[in-house]
This record gives sequence, C-alpha cells and structure tokens, in this order.
Amino acid sequence: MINGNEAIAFGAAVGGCNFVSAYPMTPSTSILEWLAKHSEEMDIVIKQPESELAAISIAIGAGHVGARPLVTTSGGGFSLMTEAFGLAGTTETSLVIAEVQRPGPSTGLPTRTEQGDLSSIIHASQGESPRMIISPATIEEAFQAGKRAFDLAEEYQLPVVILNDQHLADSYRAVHPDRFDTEVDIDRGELLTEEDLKELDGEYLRHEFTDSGISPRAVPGNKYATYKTTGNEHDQNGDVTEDPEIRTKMMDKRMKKLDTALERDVEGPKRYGPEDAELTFLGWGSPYGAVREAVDKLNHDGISSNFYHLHDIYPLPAEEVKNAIESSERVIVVENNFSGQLADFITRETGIQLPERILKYDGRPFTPEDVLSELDDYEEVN
Amino acid sequence: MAEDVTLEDYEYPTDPTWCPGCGDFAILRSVKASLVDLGLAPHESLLVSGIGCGSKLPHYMNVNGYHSIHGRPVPVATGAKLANPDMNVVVTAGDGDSYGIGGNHFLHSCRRNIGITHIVEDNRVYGLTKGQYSPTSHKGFVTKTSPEGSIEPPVRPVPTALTSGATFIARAFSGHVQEMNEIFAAAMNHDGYALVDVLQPCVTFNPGKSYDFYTDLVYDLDEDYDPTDREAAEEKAKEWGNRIPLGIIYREDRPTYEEQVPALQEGPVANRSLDPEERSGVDLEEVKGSFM
Repeated sequence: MINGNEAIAFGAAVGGCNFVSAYPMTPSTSILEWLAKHSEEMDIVIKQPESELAAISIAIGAGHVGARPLVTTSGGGFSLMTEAFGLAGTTETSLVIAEVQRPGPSTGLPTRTEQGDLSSIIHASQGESPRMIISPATIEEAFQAGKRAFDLAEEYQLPVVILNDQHLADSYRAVHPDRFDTEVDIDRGELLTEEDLKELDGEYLRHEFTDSGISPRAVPGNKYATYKTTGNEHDQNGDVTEDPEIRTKMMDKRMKKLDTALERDVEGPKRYGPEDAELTFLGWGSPYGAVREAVDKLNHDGISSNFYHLHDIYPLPAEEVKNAIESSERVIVVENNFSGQLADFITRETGIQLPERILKYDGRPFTPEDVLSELDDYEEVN
Repeated sequence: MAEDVTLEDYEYPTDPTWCPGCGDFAILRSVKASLVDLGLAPHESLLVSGIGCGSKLPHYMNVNGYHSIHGRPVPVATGAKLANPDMNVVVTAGDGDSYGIGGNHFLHSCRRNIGITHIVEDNRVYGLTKGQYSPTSHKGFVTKTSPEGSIEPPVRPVPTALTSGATFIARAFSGHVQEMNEIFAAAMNHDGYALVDVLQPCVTFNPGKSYDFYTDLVYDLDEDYDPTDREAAEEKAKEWGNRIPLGIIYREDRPTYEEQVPALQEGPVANRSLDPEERSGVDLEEVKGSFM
C-alpha cells in the first residue's frame, strides 16, 4: 500500500534526489517525512529551515553547487517562494518543487482537496521565466514524476514543479511492485566534467548563447570554471548588464529551453477508452479515477466516450492536445477548481474554445456521479 | 589549498559603480586580501550576495559568485554549504539584507551554526534606493521616508547575535583596513557561523555616520581581551555609542551544523554519486518492499 505523496518521495529518491529543503505544510508534509525517515540509509541531506523563503533559497544554493534538491510545499508556501522561483529561472538553477494543492485562497480548507494552483504556478514570479509543470494523476505517475523531475530540472536548468493534490497525495492504493521501476538511470544533461572544462577553447561562459537555449553547465568549485551568476539580467559570463541587445538574446535563450523541451521530452495527453468517441473528457490530476469510472459506465451504456489526461502541462504539448480535442465531437473538461484553469490555459495556447466544463470546488474529490450527473441527455442504464 | 595565491588572481575587469569614498571599496580589498592570506584560490570560494550597493561586491573580483535577491543570501549560502561543505562560503550583504528583510535567517543561522561567513556591510542606510532609513539607522535619522526623523531604535547586531547563539561575532570598521583583513580571515577560518558587522560609511546618503564620526568612537579590543570569556563578551557586546569596540568580540567552539548531518559523513553530497545505491549502499528493492 502506498499513497501519492509516498510515491513521489520514493520516485525522487530513485531519481537521485540527495537534498531536501522544506517547511512543513499540509498536505505536502508526508513527502518530507518519508524522505527524512530514509535520509540516513540513502544519504539525503534534510533541512527543515525557518520559513518557506529559506526553504527554496537553501534548495537554490544546493542546486547551484550540484546537488539534486527537492522542495515540498503547498500553495501558501509556494506563494511565499515565488520571488526565489524566478531567481532559479533566471540564474538557470536546477530545482524540483513538489507542490501538493489544497483549497485556497489563504488558509482555505487546509485538509481538503482542490486543483486551484495551476494558474498561479504558470504565472508565478515577476517578469517571465522558464519553468516546467508536471502533474501525476495516479500513484504510478506520482512515482514516475518524482523519478523524472530531476533529470528534467538538470537537462533544462530550471525549476520543475510536480503538481499534486491532496486527494491523490493521501489516497492509498495497492500497486503491483512491477509498476515501480527502481533501476536508476540518471541523466544530468549538459553537465561539463573537469576534462571537458580543461579542453574548452577560451573562457567558460555560464550562460552561453546556444541553439537549444541550454548552456553547458559547470559546478562551482572547479578550477577551470570560476564564474558568477545573478538575478539581475546578465551577459553570457554572468556579469550584470543592461545592454538591450544582450537582454533580448538572454530572454530568448532562457525561454527557448521550453521549445527544446517540447521537442525532446514533453509528452502529450494519455488516452483512456476508444480512440474514436462521440464524447471526450479532458483533465489532469486526481479526478482521473472518477472520470475513468464514468467513461466505463458511459461506454457500457452505449455512449462512446474516452478520457485524455495531461501529465506534462507546462510547457503545453499543444499539438497533441489539439489533435485530441479535434478528434472528438464533444469535449468536456473536468477540473477540481472554480474556473477551469487547465481549460483556460489550453484555450490560450491553442485558440480552441472549451465551453463545456464540469467543475467542483467544495473541497471534496470527484466521484463518477459528479461527472455523470452533469450530462443532461444521459440516462443511466443498469 | 593553493599556496601561491596572490591578489592578482582575484583581479577582475569590472569597475565598481560605488560612489567615490564608499566604504565598500575597502571591504572588497579586505575580502580579497583575507582569501589570499588563507591561501584560497578563487575557485575554492563561493561569494553569495543579496541586493544593495554592497551586494554587487562579488561582481568586482575573480571568484565564484551568486548574486541573489533581497533578503536571501544567507539561506542560498546555507544551501551551498550543506551540499558542499568543502567550499568556503561567504555572504557579503548589507544591513537591510541581513537584519531587515533577511533578519529571520540571521537569527536562525546564529543558533544553527552553519559554517558560513556573514560579512555585513552595515552603512545604516538604504543606499541603492538612494537614502531611506534602514534597520540599523539611529533613532531620529532624517531621510526621504522619515522626514521627521525615524521613530524606531536600531537593531543591535552584536548583542542579538550573542543571545541568538552565534559562535563567532566580530565588528570591523572599513576605515581600519589592516584590522579588517585579519578579522575577515579569522571569520573564514572559524568553524561555524561567523558574523562580521562592518561599520561602513555611506558618504552619499549617510554622511553623518562617515569616517570622522567613527574614527572618534572606535577602538581596538585589548590584546589581553579573551573572546572566549562569555561574561566579558556580554559586557563588550553592550558597548555602543560613545565608544565602539572593534575586533573579535566572541568566539566559541561548537560543532557546526553540517558536521552533524548524517548524510554528510562520507563527504559532500554535491560531489558524490547521484545513484542512491552507489552513494549509500541502500537496496532500493528492499525499500520498495517496505510498501508491500
């Protein structure tokens, strides 16, 4: 038996996490606690500091010198971290944040569930900086997200958010052991070794302009690469600049990494049910189980239906999402929030309107009946 | 340690943007001089700064630098030290960063005894934003945001650090460069959190607290002063106003935070394998079995 948070924690450990910096906040705390419990046998540094501001800043310092840091928090804590989140984006520091959502705003419903933080994380921090958001819908995906996030963070040198929610976080399920692949397969992306640095032509440029947007990275402490970086706009060398041309190129470079990620790593939505269906549900996160059950019921009752759920949300795999939407006559988005944050984001990225939404924001998880009862022309067949 | 390190190794082409007469010039020189005295090569240190005039310092020397955001240089430095305790990690930040917006991190670093050196460029004014009162401004200080004089009494860094559990507390004056070099070197040599509060004139926005003002008040602690004597330190820490002691006010041997972290016993995690089975010998299948 394992729950969503434990699966993220275990996945993170398998994925090479060697540093956790977190301030306790429900419903994220069990990730921190699981890793703390195993920290001695796995040699993982655990730091519970004085605040969320400290937690993310400590993780940034650790990531900067070459660790694989994880921050765990919920929406309130994440809100406090947003300035440093932008710092990680602009200094191109690798970092993973597991944000386990609960209903807001403010203290909200502290022990209940919601998917209300997607919009705020897409837009978190002043200005525009790169980030990735992945969101598990099942226990298996939670493990995979924990395992994969650190490779993404290092390959693209940016903060990666694992967006979970209380319902999945605390739900226990019996999962077959084969579903958790413990084989360690770590990819640190373009990380330069001492040998690489020794053979460099000219000086090392931390924020070098490249076609992919990814600048080969050196860990501080190496005698062939003494360098600086800063939250101020900077040149390739990491020195402060206000040059308009460099500023434009540096913004382009940082954001280009998202295009590169879309080409290389970002996965499209996964389908449950038949490829051709008259009714398509679209969603993310913990409503998965309820929607899947509703789809089974509809197909049983003669209404062909399927369900696409997004695991990789930001940057949006827009082409794949578009194909999924356009292959169906009717699309209904299911989300555990007030406004339909994923639906709005998809509309922004694809231009496709998604007026049909089943939304729930009473702090409780979806049931299949919540979905079926919203279908006016549907009558249950026993 | 590289023994043939010289000041030239720390030279960097960027010219400081500081005003002529700024106390930060002397602090920059002393940071370099103390690193040379300790025989540390530029790649062996990481300088972390916040936001303010003084936080530009890492950009003006050849060294690893992380110029962060306002208030957070101490936790960024803490993370770097915890991931790689072999690195000499130094914070250079102002009184706003250190005692105002980042005050909470300062308090907790004292009791935590994390092995970083915290050099506070304490000019008792917000200089980069052109002259507003700061956490260490004196009561009655007239600035653009306190036209009738500030109402609050200042933070007292030295007694605050002492009561918060700091294991190395010193005060320097950027008008006394030789002594400042020695204090910085001693602070970086200290195992644990080391605070150096530097009285640093801002000749532009706090001219009333400039070189002449401090020169009349400061004095070096006697050679027979014993910084390991807690009671003596408590007396010295109180001294402020007409006479201001300079030097190492308190020093204590206590295990650092990082040396007590179980995961760091075999060396810095930043330099070790990311594969948990290689790093620690854990059997991941066995861990998985604990769920089943």
